[in-house]
Amino acid sequence: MNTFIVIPAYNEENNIASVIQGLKSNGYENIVVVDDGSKDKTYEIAKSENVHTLKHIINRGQGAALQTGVDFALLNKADIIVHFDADGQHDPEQIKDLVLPIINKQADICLGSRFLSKQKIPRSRRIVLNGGKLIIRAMYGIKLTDVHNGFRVMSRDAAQRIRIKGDGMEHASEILEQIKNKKLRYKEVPVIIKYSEETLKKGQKNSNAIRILFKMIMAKLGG
Amino acid sequence: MEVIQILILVFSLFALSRVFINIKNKNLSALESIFWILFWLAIVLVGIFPNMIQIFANKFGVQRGIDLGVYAGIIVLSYLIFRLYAKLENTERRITKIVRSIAIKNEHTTNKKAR
Repeated sequence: MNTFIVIPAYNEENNIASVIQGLKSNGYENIVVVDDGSKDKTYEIAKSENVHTLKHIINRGQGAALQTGVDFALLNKADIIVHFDADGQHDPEQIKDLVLPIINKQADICLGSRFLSKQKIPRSRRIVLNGGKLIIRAMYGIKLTDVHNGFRVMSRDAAQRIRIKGDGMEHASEILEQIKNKKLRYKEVPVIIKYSEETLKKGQKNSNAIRILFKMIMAKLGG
Repeated sequence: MEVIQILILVFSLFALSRVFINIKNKNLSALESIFWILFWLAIVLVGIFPNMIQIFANKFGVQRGIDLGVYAGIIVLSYLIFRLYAKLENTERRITKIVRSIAIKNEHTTNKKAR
């Protein structure tokens, strides 16, 4: 099985090397870093690690970077595609847990869930994510424990059918909508998300949830 | 004639001239051209005969002419903003498409060179 790891990266020069090395030490060779127009040395550092390195000449957002990486992986005959964060929040050892149900044909796409793993989640983040859960249920009729988790694994077939149109963070909701519309079989798998001071500061702000919701509603209206 | 009427007239005529320049430069489709010409002509008419709008208002069941003007203005503006939003989204998507194809092409060619 040809497994490709797609890592969208924006200004991650401090983390990208260790993330790539972590993946390599777990035996993953096909690593695709999509530098999303970073202002720092993310691209150069990724390149020096000898992995596939794609560069967005201008910043387009995480959704756009993911789709670029997936397109590249599909072109290179990937059988399984992993979405993986560049900031070290995900544990490469857990990839195999999400890959297994795909290989066993139990699911077309596996979604990481930090709620199933009963880990500690900052309180404000927990409230926002629970709100997201209800909205996703109301809008798309899909029941999940964790709706905005960047850790996903999908089969080649699922990756070909899901097309991320939203450039920004709303892609996470968009993927769920397409899972529902295209009747893909999904499975949630417990994962641990490492919250550090840096990831909380640099990563998604809780207030960004409002913008994501607005984009979702406009997408429903305008198509 | 009141000052406000003169201001409305001058501005409408200016706007009309811009519409014609855009038609000449082929920036507007036929339908858009007609819409904008009619729109500004209507403003000109209302500017000259303010009572017209009162007659319309009564027909629509609105008491004051100016109220009808405000309602219509808000509706038209909302629609234009929505269209602008849709167009902007579309443009964003196209930019992403270009950026993506450049990214993939570059990595593909450097791979080939390496081999």
